[in-house]
Amino acid sequence: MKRYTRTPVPTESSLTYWECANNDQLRIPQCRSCGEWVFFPCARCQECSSSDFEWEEVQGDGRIVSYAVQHTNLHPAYHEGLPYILTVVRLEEGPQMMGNLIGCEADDVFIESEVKVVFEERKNQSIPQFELV
Amino acid sequence: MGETRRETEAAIAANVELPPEKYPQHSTTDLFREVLQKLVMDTDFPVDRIDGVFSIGAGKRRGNEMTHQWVIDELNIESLLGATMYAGGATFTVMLDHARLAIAHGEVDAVLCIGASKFGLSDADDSERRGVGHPEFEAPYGLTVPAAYGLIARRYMFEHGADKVDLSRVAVCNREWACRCRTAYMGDEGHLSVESVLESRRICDPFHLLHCSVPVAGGGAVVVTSGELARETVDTPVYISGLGQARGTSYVSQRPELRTDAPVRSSKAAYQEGNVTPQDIDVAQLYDAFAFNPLEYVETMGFVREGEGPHFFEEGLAAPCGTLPINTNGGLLSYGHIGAASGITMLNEAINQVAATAGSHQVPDVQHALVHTHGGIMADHGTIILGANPP
Repeated sequence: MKRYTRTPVPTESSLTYWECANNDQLRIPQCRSCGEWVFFPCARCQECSSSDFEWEEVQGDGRIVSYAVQHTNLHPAYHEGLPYILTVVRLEEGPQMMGNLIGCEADDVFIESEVKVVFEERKNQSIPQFELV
Repeated sequence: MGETRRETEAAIAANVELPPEKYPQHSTTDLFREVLQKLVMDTDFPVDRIDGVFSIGAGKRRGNEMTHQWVIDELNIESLLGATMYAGGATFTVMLDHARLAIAHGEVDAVLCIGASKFGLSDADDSERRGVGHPEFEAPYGLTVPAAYGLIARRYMFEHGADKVDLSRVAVCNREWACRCRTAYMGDEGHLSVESVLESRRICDPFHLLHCSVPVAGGGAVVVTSGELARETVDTPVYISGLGQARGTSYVSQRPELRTDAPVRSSKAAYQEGNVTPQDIDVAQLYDAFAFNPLEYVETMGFVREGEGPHFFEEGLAAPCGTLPINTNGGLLSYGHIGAASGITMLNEAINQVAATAGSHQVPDVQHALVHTHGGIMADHGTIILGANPP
């Protein structure tokens, strides 16, 4: 099995997340028992161990917690897209997630800038990404 | 109480260091052999007293997941305790912790902690090529080691009003020390200026090339014993005054403000055990995978208040003749980053400083040295305080 590709391979816990992404929806499991977000999706809530989740749709609006601009990458799959921007975004609903900032120049990016989710199609799988608002 | 402490105190009875080089003709196993050769030839500690071995795995070859067995055979010793361990840069801190506990329990007398590696050649280093972080929620975005640290660094810089000049001052300071250290890999490359660091090519902004550690190969070892056995066998035992470990999530994106309090917790535990304060520390080795790390570690180790790290380096307080010399062999940035076994180089240097065997870059009158290492993307944290006298 290939150990790493640019396309995520869903697990039993994350299958719904990735299926929704293919429909341009961002859904994150929320624990019905204690109300905590369960992200990354996993079998049991890390707060209360319940496995009773609601897959809540989140709007995908958030703010930049941080970003970094990758100018080199040893992995050939990324050579074409250099430089690219990594970001961690805090969603309005609370969860924090990683993505690339796309459709902008590094000079236009600032911490705490507002962003919104967009979906980028990769091989048989769309993945959430972010754009500046 | 004093008597009880004395019975369980642990000390370093041998300190072996293979200078950082490229070693193009050496396999990782060859480097291990060099370290063992030095242990036998260059130290006073009687090798037949070693009855425990903790080792780093010797690279990718099959069987290397149990390198300690090979070490035991090479030394031809009868060992009671043995394991091959890995927690990134924090590995040697974990080894020392287990070694001293086994000694305190009376299980063994002397534990060899050994490692050798070539940056880029271990399974761990290979992660750079296949991407780091969570396989579904981080790695597919092209997360690399520099990017993961870069994200953490940029958030720190935002919160504390620091900039790339502040990062560069750390690299400049480390190089000052490297120029004084005979064995530092970059020691002959001359001094750096903030401008020259910022003119080096960009790797992952905010990091330029000279903000990143320099990849080399090397290795080393220490022997941990009781204080009593160390005093019996060597001239200048160095004591483990305190040691603390703490861990945070390995997933950078899931840390609030991308920070973890693990280094604060590990250092507090070490200070508390050693009954020392940050003001008692005379020299510190702070794991500098990237120039950002020491900025934050002078804060989390309690040397300055939160947000004052950049000012500390701006004032030159970590440099030669500063009030708290930091990374006195040049650190991973300028002494060299040997890959999987990197933690040993910081430990070797701290021991040399306490034993007053550092030579050309010796800091005068070191009573206490602090070593802080981390493994992974700042997930495993370990702080060691070494003392010239029994705790």
